[in-house]
Amino acid sequence: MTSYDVTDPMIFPAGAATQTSAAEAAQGEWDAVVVGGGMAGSIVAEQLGNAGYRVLILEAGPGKDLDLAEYESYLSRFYGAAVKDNQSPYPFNPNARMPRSTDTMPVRPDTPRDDFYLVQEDGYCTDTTFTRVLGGTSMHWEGKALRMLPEDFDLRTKYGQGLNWPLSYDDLEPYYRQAEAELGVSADVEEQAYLGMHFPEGYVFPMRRMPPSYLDRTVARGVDGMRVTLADDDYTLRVRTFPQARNGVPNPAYDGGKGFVPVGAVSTSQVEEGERCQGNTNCVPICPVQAKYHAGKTLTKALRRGNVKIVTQAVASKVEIDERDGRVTGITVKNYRSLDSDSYETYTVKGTVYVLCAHAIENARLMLASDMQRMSRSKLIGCNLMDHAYLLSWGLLPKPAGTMRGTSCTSGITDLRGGRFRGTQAGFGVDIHNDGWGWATGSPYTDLVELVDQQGLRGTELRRTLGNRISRQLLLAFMIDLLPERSNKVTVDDRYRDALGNLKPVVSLKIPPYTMRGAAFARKLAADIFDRLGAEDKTVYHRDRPSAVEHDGHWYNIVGGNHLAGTHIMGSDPATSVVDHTQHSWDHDNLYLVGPGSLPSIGTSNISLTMAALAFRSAGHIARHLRAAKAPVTVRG
Amino acid sequence: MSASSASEAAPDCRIQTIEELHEYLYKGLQLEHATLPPYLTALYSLHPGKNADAWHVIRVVAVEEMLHLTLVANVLNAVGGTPDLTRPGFVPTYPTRLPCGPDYFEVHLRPFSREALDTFLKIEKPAEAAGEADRFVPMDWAALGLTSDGAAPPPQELAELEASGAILGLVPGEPTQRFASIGEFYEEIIRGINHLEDQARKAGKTIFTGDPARQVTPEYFYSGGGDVIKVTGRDTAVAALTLVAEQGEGLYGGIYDSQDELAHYYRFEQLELGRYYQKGDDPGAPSGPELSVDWDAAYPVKPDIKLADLTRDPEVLAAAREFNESYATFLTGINLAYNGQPDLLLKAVWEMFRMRDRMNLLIRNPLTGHPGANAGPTFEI
Amino acid sequence: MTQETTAGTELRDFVKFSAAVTGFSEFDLWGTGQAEAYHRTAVDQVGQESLRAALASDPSAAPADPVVASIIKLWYVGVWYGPEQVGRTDVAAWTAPGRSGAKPAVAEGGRAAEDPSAPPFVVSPDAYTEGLLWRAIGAHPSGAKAPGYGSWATPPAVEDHQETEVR
Repeated sequence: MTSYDVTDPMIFPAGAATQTSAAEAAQGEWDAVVVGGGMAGSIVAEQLGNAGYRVLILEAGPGKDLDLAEYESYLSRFYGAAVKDNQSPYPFNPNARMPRSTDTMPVRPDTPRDDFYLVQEDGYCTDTTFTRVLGGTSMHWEGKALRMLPEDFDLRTKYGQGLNWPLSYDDLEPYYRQAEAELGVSADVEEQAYLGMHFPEGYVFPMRRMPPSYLDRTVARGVDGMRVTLADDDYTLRVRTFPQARNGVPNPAYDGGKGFVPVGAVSTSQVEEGERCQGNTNCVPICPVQAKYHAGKTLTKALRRGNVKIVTQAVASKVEIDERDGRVTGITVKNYRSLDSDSYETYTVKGTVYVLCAHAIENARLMLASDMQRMSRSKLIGCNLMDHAYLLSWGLLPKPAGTMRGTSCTSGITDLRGGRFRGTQAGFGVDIHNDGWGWATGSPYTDLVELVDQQGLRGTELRRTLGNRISRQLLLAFMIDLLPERSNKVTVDDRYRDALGNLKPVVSLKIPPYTMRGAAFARKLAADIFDRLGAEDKTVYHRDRPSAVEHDGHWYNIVGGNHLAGTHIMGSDPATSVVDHTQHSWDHDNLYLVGPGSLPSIGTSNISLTMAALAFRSAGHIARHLRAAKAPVTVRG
Repeated sequence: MSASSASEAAPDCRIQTIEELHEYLYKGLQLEHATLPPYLTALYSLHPGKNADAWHVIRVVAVEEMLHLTLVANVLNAVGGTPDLTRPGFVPTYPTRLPCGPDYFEVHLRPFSREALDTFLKIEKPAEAAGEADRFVPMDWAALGLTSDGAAPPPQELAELEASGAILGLVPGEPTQRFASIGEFYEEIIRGINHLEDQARKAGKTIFTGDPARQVTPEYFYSGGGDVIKVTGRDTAVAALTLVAEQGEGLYGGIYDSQDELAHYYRFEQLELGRYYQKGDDPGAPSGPELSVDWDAAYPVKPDIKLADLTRDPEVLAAAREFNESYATFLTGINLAYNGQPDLLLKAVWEMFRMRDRMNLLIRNPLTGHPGANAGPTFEI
Repeated sequence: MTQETTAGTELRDFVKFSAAVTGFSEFDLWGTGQAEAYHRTAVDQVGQESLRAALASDPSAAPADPVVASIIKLWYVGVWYGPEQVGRTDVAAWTAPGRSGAKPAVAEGGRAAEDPSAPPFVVSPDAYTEGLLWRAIGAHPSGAKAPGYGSWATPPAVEDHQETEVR
């Protein structure tokens, strides 16, 4: 056994992804079996490993070490892919498939059954995705790391909408700080203390805020000081940078003056890359230099402890339950041989506790496929599926503003994330997109085709026109709150199975009027902002697309945010929630469901930071659970 | 490099004045910089996406040469000197010559190849442990073809040669001798600092009179291994210079330096041996993951290319001139950063990225009249 | 004249013509390292005859020979869109980097299942990063040739377009 350099947290132990076979893992007795090597699973595994427990991670994705060669193969696949969607960097894996936004269309009786992973039968379809490789969806997340607002935790009490959390902002605050350290967040406290968000005296983020883009400053000139009235309250808007889980300039004042050392690229050898963002403008679907946090960084730390192991190419297929006491007795995995073959072997792995960290849709899918709804008191497994509803608005600025430079998004407008208007309509955050209209129209490639093929431009005229046009693009993305609704859900259906015979997730998500009222307001606000900037509004919505939603006689396109949550919500009553405030299952004593599925609401912040904070908090509770379970047994006579 | 400490009486110290110390440190800047053009030429000659292992190894070393340059500048600033990267001849004419034990070797601008790697290994080679007597080697000017009788060239010519950076590692002011290795050169500087500081302290003074605001601190330098050391006194000066010396060749014969960075020599050796080093390995016996090198996946940059080679390709010539101008601008920017505006180092990184793009364009252009050879940056500043 | 030099001449002619229609110099085109691969792609996709005809056309003619349009787009983004896909912005939308979502649904390859045209393809991973489009818009390819931390805060310099620069 090689010993690894403890001083360098970026060295992924070579061979770790393949050295533990499923057969071997099934023979051992683990303290904790964690399903999923993404952000939540890596944090739980690292924390429990640090506490001295033997942890097994089950990962559905391919069995490759997270070394630079593997990472750069993702990058090269992205470069070479004709279709550059969120999943384009990651290999197609028939045995652990991923939803692709190219598949966003309703499955009809005549659709070949094998075409899609995420099955949707409704007229409205979401293009939301999640990723099944080592590191999970954090490989392609954008990296915004906002806290939820204090008011998000008791929306029901304050505004009569949604659900209250069994936790408050203050309960979670220390864990937010822990998550900000783990993810390496760049932000300035002074700028982030708004709408009641507070920080302990003297706190600074690990790194200073990302510099706002020239485009941000252009927008700020029109927006700063703009006043809007909503539900009888006045709001003054300003452009503000977002906290980002991305390496910037370390703040020497962090941790009482100890400073912060950014974690760069991980690999099996010393590579010295990614200590600072270089402005590749490609946070989604992959940061080329790993300046953006991904769960592989936490997983690397976890696997460097000898007591944390991972089995890859192991798709959790069934949670085994003892019918008498409801305790989980094992996780049955299908361990496939390769990405090219559907041959697999079945093993059951056993532990003292089981922690499902497979993301909102897969956690629910696995439990439903294991017939656990039958044993659920709330019957809410898979229900309350949430994702942010994104409404895009795009316009052409009067002068070049340097679009297509910077991280995907450096700033936005966050003043309408909270307020009394949430009694009647959804709050939202606004992203100023540094990457132009791409998300909405496929620019700049569509501009190229239009100018070359339709307008017949060539030579220097083509070059000049393109430059002038793209550099003026402004895309505002409104990230709108979507409340938990029982009818928005993940189910399984015997008609839909994947190559290994596992049931596919069937998703039904409708955008409720509360969210659409927010969308309609957002649309008007966008028009006002464009007006103030002298920008030509170019927004067009298409009613013939699966993303089309009608509201008040107008059509909008509502696209997914990859912020899936809510399929096993936490609460204080087993009749109305699936887990308690520690993400402990109400119905199965040795089962924890850790991940965004536990969020009872998503407010207007990307879910990752909150999920990470909750994972840290739950890891402490799981460790206490293990301590109690492993206490010397008193043998009764 | 033989270790020395403050308490030791400085034996036979060649640096006797603060001016001499400044001159040695200027030579140090020139020396650290001199390796950058060859590393960059090899790095950007690699076909994109083909030689990831080689690409990252050379990239890290090049970035760390920038760290070394910054460390030497910090020391020079700390002792009241003025870094000047814009002095004529600061950028050597290639091929230049570097000392390696008893021999000199030539450093060319060359595409990535076995020969280039061999040169890089020589540049970073750990020095043989030298006794006091072996620290200096007599200069054989005849062997270098620079004089016919082996004696040093006349002062005027010598000054020109020294300024041009055509021969590095000479003992300043003593044209009959040179240092046996770069390590010994830095050893001499450390001795000089100790000697001058001891003398100054006796008079109740210090040689560390520089303005601390001129120091480049860690927030201005990132990527690549190793951290910038802020130099404020003897200890930090010695630490900075020790890091410069050992980051090339390793610490006390080991493969890592004091900041746990794999030393340059061993980074390069990984490419030769086809395997990565990891903690605990002995020199010459890496036991980490395997790596592979495709020796043919590089553009055939004409070695030691000059503007004069480009006359038949006017567009290429114009671009090569433009590159040289931008390289001069880059050095000017860094020089300002080392002269009281450390935040300009962040902008110098942008300029470095722009130069990367310009070099790539040059390196992929075929040359008329030189079948099978491509253009490249000439670094004629 | 040997075969090799014929091939060399054809390649040089291809680059010379490409410079006229793309608005970039021959130095810039050679500088992408893609000249051979693009020439080969064009020959493979449309055949020697059609390519020769296209290269013999007036570079400023509009509407151009569809093969010429394919060649321009190839240099700009490294993607071969066949001449039969002229004007297809729906196909182009999916081949662009950036977040997907609001685009119309398409099957793998960036085209609808019933579409008989050959799917577009990226000539190679580095063809993507060497796209001239990014230089034309004063930026860098999404995910490559990064400009450096914080550089995005500076005013844009759109190449060849100084008159509209915001300073």
